[in-house]
Amino acid sequence: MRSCKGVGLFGKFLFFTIVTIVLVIVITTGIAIKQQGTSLTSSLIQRNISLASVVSSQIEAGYISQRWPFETLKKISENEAVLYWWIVEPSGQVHLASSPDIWGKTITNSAVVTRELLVKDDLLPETSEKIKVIVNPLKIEGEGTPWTFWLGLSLRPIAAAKKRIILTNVEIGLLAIAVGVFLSFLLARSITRPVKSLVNGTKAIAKGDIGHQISITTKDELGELASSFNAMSADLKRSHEALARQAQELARSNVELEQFAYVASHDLQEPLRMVGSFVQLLARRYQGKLDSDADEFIAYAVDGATRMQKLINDLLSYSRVTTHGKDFEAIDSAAVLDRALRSLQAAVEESDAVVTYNPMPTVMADSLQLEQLFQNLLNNAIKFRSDEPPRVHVSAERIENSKICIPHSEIETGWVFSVRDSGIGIDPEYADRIFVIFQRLHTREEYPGTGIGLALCKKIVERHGGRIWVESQPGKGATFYFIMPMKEDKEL
Amino acid sequence: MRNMRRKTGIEILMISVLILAGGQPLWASSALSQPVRVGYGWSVENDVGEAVAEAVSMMNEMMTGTPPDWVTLFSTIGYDGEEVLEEMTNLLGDEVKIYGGTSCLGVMTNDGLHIGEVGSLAILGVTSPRIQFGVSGVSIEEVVSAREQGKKAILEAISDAGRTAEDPPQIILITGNPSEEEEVLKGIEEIIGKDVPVIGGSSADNEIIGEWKQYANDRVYSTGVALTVIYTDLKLGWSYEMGYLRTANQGVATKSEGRTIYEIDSRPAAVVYNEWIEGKLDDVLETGGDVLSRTTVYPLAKIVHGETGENYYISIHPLSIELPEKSLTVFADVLEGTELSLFYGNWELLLNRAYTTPMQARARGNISVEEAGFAIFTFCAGTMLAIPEGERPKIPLLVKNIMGETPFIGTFTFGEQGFLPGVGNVHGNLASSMVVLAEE
Repeated sequence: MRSCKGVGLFGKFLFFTIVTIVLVIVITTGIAIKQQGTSLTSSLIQRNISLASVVSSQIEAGYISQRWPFETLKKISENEAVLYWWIVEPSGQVHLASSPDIWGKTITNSAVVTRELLVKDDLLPETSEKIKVIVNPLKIEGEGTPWTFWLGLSLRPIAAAKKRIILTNVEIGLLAIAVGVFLSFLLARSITRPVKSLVNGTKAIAKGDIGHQISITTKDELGELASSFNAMSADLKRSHEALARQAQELARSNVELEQFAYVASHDLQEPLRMVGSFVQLLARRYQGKLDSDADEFIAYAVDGATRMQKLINDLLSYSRVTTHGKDFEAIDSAAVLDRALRSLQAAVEESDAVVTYNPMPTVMADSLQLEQLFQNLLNNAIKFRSDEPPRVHVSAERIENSKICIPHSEIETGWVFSVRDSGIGIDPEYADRIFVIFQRLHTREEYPGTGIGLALCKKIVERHGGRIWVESQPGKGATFYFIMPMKEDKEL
Repeated sequence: MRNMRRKTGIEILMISVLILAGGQPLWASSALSQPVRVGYGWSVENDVGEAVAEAVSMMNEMMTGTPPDWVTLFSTIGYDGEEVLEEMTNLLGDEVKIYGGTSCLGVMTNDGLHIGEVGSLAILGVTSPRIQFGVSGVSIEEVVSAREQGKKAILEAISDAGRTAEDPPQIILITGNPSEEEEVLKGIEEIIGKDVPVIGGSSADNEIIGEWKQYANDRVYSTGVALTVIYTDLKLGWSYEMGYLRTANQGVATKSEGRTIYEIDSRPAAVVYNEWIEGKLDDVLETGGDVLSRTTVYPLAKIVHGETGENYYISIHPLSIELPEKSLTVFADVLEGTELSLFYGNWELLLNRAYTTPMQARARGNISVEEAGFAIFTFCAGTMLAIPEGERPKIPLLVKNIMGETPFIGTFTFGEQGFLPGVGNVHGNLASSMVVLAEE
């Protein structure tokens, strides 16, 4: 049935209808021919035995009255089943015959001297056609044995009857096929129409016409399916509307939150700067002039103010990703990477880090944010180094040609950047957690930081329509990947 | 069936007119031990010369080279009679006596019914020291009447046989012009009396248009009569029958002339006849015209009475209805006062005559199949035409059933002549006859 997979319902109905009809016709024809053949042969013989008997009586009477029943014999000859009739003398000489050719000839056959009615199979000499022969003894005695009346019967009428049965059945079959085709068409249409409506309905929903209703009014299973579909579509519409409202609310809330975060961090900067400035002033002026507790307290205050300032700066940067982002433009990512490296030059030199990179592509991006992205990733690579001087390698390749396993992404075109380091690595268990804001895997004392860096990276990448992930094992370094999609598949 | 001796009853199917042959003294001859040599031939070749040559060749072969004394010739009008006779004479010589006439559509022999594209002919030649043949032919133009024609013909035939009128033959074969046959017969009887059977038939064409011919020695006639007289000591058989069934319809020809019946029982003859056959000629009764093919199975019959009071029925075939008298023309003379009866039959009855006529002839002559030397068969053309075409080939086959391998030829005629005991020779229609001679 594999070949039926591509065939429509109409074709399938048609196929099964025709096959069924043909099978039925063939079987019924076979049975009819077998039954009719037997019945017709029997009927033919019985009918002609009766005929032979009647004619024999007339012949016997004709023998006495010197009047052969030629009219009857002619009528017999006109019967399509009768090939010949003979009136045969006991010597085997044909006394009278339907055909002049045999008239007066002598036949050699044991049936010539029969005293009982015989029905035997024979072959027609000229054509070797199978025939039936009825031999009826006549009440005309001669030479001690009676004369006989012979009737040669053709089986062609039976063959013709069989042929007629076949033709009739073929005609019936063709008619049935025609009707079957028509009914199949109607049946298929009655099914395919609602099915097509359902298909169109699902397509409409897929295209966004949530709540699309289909109009199928049949009372059958398809009607039930349509009702279910419509109910589902209506539910979907309601859910979709509720979801949209929630999304809208969420977006609004998010915007408000981002606005709040930005405003809060921005507005907090000024008083914090003031607090920090005066605390630092206190520390400079009164270092060693107060008791040791005061120095310690002031130091705590300075440290706290500094950390808060850093935190607020990072938070501001985080919120600015969406609120102060620039339009994307074609930029040389190698140049951006160079700038990021220059800003990290001190850290690189201090850690004896070796940073290498392959040729970098031109991408559509916000250059500042991309620089910020590189900077954060490179900084992390240097910061979370092992005992060995860090080795960092940056590369980029086309998604289409990449062998990198990209998890859960529908992005089909763009560039996959990778930043591979030789640092302490990350337990894969925390691969997602590290991108959440304020989430830290280490204490501040072990590795300084605000816990915003990778969250910022994630936000930048997502703003560009890409995604970011990490592959790592503890102690074996980590590789951060991020995708910069290519809009409209432009070759940049 | 060959030994069939049972006669049909009066009520049963056939009305046979059987006449015992008048016994004539057998020839006491030194040639008693010499056989009768007989041969027959036939042809349907389109060319007359080839046809005659083929038939003669076949006959000569059967006669093992012995030239025939006498030849019966039947041909159809597809062949020119003069040419046929010329070719015959060329091949057989002037000495052979030729007798015969034309046949309707075809001819018959032991080999079957022969119907050619152009024509067909059959001949039967006989030579025997125990048979003397005399052949004559007389045209009506040569004499003043048909009766004189008969007289002249029989005298010439007897003379041709080397005999005199005081020494009548055993049998006379006749082939005449289909007209005034009764008068011809009367002329013959005036010479030889009423005891010698005159058996034969009137020559025919294919469509009753007067193209029939009679052959007598080296002459061809169209309005003649050809006779063969036979003198022999051999056993001789003959038959003449009109096997139809009689009906209860009977009347008297109250007004008639020659072959026209004007009135039956003082009513228009055609009206009466049509009533008898239940209106089967209603259409023609109003328009007049030919009824020949429609009356074959409904012949009228003249009732004649024999010397011992027995009735004989001589069938006559209605030819046409004539207006305005609504008279009925027939193929035989009907005298006023003649009793008429309606007969009927069917083709089966007619076909069976090909079986019974030879049977009667053999029976009449007490001739077994083995004894039979040759036979001449006459079958009414109208009777033949009434038989379905596909059944007609059975006619000679049925003859053969009775005659075995006895050579015979047959002709289809327009009127048949035969003998009724106690009545004499008569002319009738729709009849059949046979003459058979034994070999020994």
